[in-house]
Amino acid sequence: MGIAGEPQTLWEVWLAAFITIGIYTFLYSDNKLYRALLNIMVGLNVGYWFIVGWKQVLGPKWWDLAWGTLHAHIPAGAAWPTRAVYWIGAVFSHISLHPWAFIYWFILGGLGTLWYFQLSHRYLWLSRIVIGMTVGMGAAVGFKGSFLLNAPQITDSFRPVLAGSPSPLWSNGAPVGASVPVDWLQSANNIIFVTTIFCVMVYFFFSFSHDKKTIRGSASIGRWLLMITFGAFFGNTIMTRMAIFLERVQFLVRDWAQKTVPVTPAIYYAYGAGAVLLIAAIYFLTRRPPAKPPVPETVEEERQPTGPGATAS
Amino acid sequence: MLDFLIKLQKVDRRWIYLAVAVACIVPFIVPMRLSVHPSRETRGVYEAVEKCPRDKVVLLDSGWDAGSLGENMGQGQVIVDHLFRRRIPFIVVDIGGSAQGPQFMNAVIKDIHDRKYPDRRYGTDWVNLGYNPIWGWQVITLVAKDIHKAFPKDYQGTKVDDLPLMRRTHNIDDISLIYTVNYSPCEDYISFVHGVYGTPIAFACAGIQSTTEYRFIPPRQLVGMLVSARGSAEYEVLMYPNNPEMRVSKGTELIVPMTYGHLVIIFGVLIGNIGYFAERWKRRRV
Repeated sequence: MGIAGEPQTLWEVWLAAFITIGIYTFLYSDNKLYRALLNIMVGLNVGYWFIVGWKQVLGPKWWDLAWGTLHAHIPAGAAWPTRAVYWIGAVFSHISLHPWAFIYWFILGGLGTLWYFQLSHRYLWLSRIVIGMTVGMGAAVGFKGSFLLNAPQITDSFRPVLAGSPSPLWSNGAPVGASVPVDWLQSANNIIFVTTIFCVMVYFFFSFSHDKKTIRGSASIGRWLLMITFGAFFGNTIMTRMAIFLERVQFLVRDWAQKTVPVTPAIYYAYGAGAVLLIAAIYFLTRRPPAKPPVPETVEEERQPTGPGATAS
Repeated sequence: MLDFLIKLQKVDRRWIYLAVAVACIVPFIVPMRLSVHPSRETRGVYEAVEKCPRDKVVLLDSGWDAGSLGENMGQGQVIVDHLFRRRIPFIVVDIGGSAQGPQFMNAVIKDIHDRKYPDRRYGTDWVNLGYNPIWGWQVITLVAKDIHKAFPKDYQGTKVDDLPLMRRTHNIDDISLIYTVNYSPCEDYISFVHGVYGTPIAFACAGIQSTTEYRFIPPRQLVGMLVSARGSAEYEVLMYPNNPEMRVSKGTELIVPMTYGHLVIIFGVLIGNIGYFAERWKRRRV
C-alpha cells in the first residue's frame, strides 16, 4: 500500500473506498450519491487546474519573470500599507531601469489577455488577433510535424509483394532475386498490407462512380477491413476500461477489505450477506416493469413566438 | 428453445456487470497465474533498453496520474526496474502531461529503489526534473537543444547544474532513448525528435490509444510499445523469464483478472449474437 498516490492512512483508505463504491453505485442505477460525488470531483478538478495554471504557467512563466524581482525592494517587516507604497515605487523604478524588459513582458501579458475577450460579444475581434497568430504558427508547425510523422509511413507502404526474409536494410523483406529466396510468410504479410491500403483508399474515393464491379468489390472489402479495425479499437477500449476498473477492484479487495476491515468469521458472513442482497436486488429490479416516461402536460407553452413581430424574452 | 435463445440478447446489463465483477474479484482473492507471451512491440522496447549505453541517459517522460494508474503505473515500474538493473542513468520529465506525473513516478522510483536497488543515488543514477505544462513540440524541441533551459531546476527546486548527472547531460546527443509513459503519448516526439535527430522512441500507452500508435512500429518510428497492463506484464516476463516470483508490477497483478474479465465480455458478445441470429432466423420462418 502507498505506492504512487494511493491512500496511506486509515481514514484516507476508508474515504477512497467510500468514493469508489459511491461512484460505482451508478452501475445499479442513477442516484443522488453518485451525482453528489460527481459534482465534488468536477469542483475539485476545476479548482486544482486553476491553481496549476497559476503556479505552473502564469506564475513562473510570466509573473515571476516580469515582477518577481520587485520583492527584493520591499523591506521584510514593513506594514501592509507601507508595503503597497514600496511595491508601487519599485514598479516605477523597475520600469525606468529596464524599460525594454517592461515593454516586452507588458506586450506578452497584453497579448495573452486578449484571449479573454472571447467572453465579450462587443470586443470579440480583439481575441481574433491572438487567434490569428496562433493559427498561423500552428499551421507552419503542423505542416512540418505532419510531414515528419507521415512521410516514413508512406515510404514504408511500398512493399514487395514477393519478398525475401527481412534484414536491417529491408525491414519488410528484401526483393526476391537469384540469391534471395521467397519468404512466404513475409510475402503474405506484405500482400495483406498492400491490399488493405488499396481497398480502404478505393472505399474513400467518392469522386468517381462505384458502379463498376471491380471498384465496388474493392470498396466492399475496404469497408470490411475498416470494420475489423474498428473492432480492434473497441477491443482495446475494453482493455483500457477493464484496467481502470481492475485497479479500483484491487484497491477495494487488497487495501480496503483485507487491511482495514478486521478479519473475523463474522466479516465473511457480512460479505456473503452483502453478495446475496446485491443479487436479490438485481433480480427484483429486473423483474419490475420499466417506468413509463413522463408525459408533458402541454406543448403549447414551449412554443416560441415566430415571425417579424416576435421579440426575444 | 428458440425463445430462450432470443431472450439471451435482452439480459439485463446489471447481470453482466455482476458477472464481470465476480470474474475480476475472484483472481485477487484466489491467486492464479497464466502464461504470458511477450509480443513483438514489447520485445522492441526491451531490446532497445538492452542496447542503451551506460554513458548516455534515457529520457523518461511520465505524464500519468491516478486516472490511468492501472495501465501506466506498471509501464513505469518495469522500465525503472530495468534501467536500475542495467545501471543506465535516466531523467524523468513531464512535458505537458498531468501535473501529478512527477509525483506518481517519484513514488514508483522510491518503491523500486528501496526494495531492490538501495545503492542507486539520486542525482547520479536518476534525476526527476518535474513538470513543464507546455504540451508538445515547443518544450520537446527545447529539450533536444538544451535541456537545462527547458528544466532549469529539478522537482525539488535544486538547480540542475548542481546535479552530477545533469552536468554531463546537455542535449539530445546525450540521450540514447526516449520512453514516454502516458495515457496518450505525445506524437511530437516522433516528428520533432526522431524525425530530426533519429533518436529511438518508445511509447507506453493506454490500450485505447494503442490502435492509432501501432502504425509507427513498421516504419521504425517507434522501436516498440508497451500496451496497457499487458505490456508491462509481458515486459516482466522478458526481464525475469525464470523467476515468476520477481514479477510484481501492476501489469502482472492485473493481467489475470483482466483475462477473466475479457472472457466474460467475449461470452456476453457471443450469447448476444446467438440471440440476434436466433431472432433473425425466427423472423424468416414466420
